[in-house]
Amino acid sequence: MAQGFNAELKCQQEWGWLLSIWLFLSGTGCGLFVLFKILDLPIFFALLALGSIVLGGAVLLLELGSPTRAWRGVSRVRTSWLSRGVVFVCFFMVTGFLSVAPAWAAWLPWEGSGLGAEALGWIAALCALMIVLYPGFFLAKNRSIPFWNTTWLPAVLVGYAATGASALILLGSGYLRDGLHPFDSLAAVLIVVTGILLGVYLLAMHRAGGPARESVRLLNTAPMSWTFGFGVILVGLLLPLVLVLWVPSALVLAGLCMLAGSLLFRYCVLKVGVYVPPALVQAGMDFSRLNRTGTDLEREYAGMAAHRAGGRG
Amino acid sequence: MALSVNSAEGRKVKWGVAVDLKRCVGCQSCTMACKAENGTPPGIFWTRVIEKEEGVYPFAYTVFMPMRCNHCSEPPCVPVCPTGASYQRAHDNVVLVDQDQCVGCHACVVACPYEARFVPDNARGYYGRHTTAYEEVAYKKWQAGTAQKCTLCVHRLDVGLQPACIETCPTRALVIGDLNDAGSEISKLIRQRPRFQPRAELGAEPNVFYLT
Repeated sequence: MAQGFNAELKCQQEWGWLLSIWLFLSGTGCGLFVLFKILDLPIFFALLALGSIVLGGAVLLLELGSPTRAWRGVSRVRTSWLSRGVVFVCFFMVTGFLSVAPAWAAWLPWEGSGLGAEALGWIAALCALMIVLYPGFFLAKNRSIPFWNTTWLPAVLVGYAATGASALILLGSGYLRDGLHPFDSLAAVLIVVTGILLGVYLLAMHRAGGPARESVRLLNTAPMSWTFGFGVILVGLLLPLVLVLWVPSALVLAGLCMLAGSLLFRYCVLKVGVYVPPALVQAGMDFSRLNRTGTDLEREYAGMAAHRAGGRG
Repeated sequence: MALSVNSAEGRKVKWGVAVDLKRCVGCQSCTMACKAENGTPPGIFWTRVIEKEEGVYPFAYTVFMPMRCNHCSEPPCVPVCPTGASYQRAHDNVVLVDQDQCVGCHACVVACPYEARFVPDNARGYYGRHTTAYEEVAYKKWQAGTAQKCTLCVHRLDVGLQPACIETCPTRALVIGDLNDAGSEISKLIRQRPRFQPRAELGAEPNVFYLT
C-alpha cells in the first residue's frame, strides 16, 4: 500500500471483496438460522445456515494476514467486537450443530423434538442473532470513518441479513412442506423494510456532511454508482420486489437477485468508507503576511534597512 | 541530543510531541530518518509530511503538516484488537504492537483516525524480490501480514535518546518531552503557543500538539 502525501479525503483500502463475502455469508446464514427457529422450518435450512457460517469463517481466514494465529482472536472479549464475534460463532457452531444432530444421530441422549434440543436450538438462535448484529457494531465503533460510525449501519445490516435469509428460503422452496405462499409475502415485507432502512441511513449520512456525505456522493458517482445503483438498488431491491409480488413463477430468480444485492451492498459500504481528513493547519494559523504584493514587500524591506541603518548610527 | 528521562523516574511518563507548523518546511527529513532508522517496507511511512495548497495565484502557498502516530491517551486502535497484540506500555503512553500475537485483521488500521498503522502484504524490498544487505537486516524487525506502526523509537527513547525523526529535523520543528513534567520544553511550548490536537473531537486524546 502506498500512502498519500496530500491532505485529502481518502477511502479505506484495507477491506474489500473478502470481507464483504464474510459479512454476507455470516449475516445471511445466521439470519436464516433465526428464521429457522422462529418459523419452524425444515432442518435443511439449519444445515444451510451452519454451512454458510463455516464457509464465511474460511473466507475470513483468507482475509487475515496471519491466519495460523486466528485462535488468538478470543483473547480480548472485554473490549473487541471481533473477539466477541469469534466467541459467538464458536457457541453457535456447537449449540446449532448439537440441536439438529439428533435428526441423523439417533444414539444421542436427547431427541430432536425434546426439551434439550429445543433449548440448544434457542441458544444457537440467540448466538446467531448476535452474529448478525456484531459486524455492524464492529464497523460502527470506528470513529475514523463517519459513514460507518452510526447506529443506522447495524440496523441496515440486520435488514439485509433478514432479506438474504428470506432469499435462501425462496431458493430452498423444494424443501418446504406447505408451499411458498407465506414466505414470498415475508420476502416482500423484508425487501420494503430494508429499502426504507437503507434510504434513511443514506439520508442521515448525507445530512451529516463531511466525510459521511462524501461516502454517499461516492456511492452515486462512477465507478461505484454502477455497483450501487444497478446492483444494490435495481437488482437487489426493486427487481425482486416486482418478481415476488407479481411474477410467482420467478421466485428463484428473485431469491438470486436478493442475494446478489445483499452481497453488493456490503461491498459498497466497505469501499466508500471515507476517513476523517487530517486536521491540516486550520484555526489560529495566520497566513495574512503571505498575501503581500511586491510593492508591500519593497516598502517593508526599505523600512527594515532604514531601521538597521538607524541602529548603527 | 540526550533526552532527560531520569526526571520521570517514580511516576508515569506521558510522552508528547510538539510540531511547530511555523518552522516545518516540508523537507521530509523526518520521513527519511524514520525509514533509515526503522527499515519500513516500500510505500509505508510511519511518519510523513503531508501538504496542502492554500490560496490562489499570485498568493498561493503550501502548508505542511507532519503526520505520525499520536500515541493517544485513549488509543482507538488498542480496544478493537481481538488478540491484545496492540497495547499501551504500562509505564508510559507509547502504543506498540506485539507482532507475534497479531493476526493481521486490519481492525486497528481502520480504527486509527490518523492513518498511522499499516499491514505490509509481503517482505519485498524496494528492488522487488532482491533485497539489499540493509533491507535484509532491517526487515527482521517486522513481520509481513501483521500490523506495524511508529514506536516513537522506544529503543532510543528508553536509553535517553530522541526519536530519529525529531533528532534529524533541521528546523527544530519537532520537540518531544514529558507532558506530565511542567518544566519540560514541550510543556512550556504548549502553554505559551496557540495549538491544536488533531481530531481531538474523536476522543482519542492525542499527544501530538500542533503549534500554530
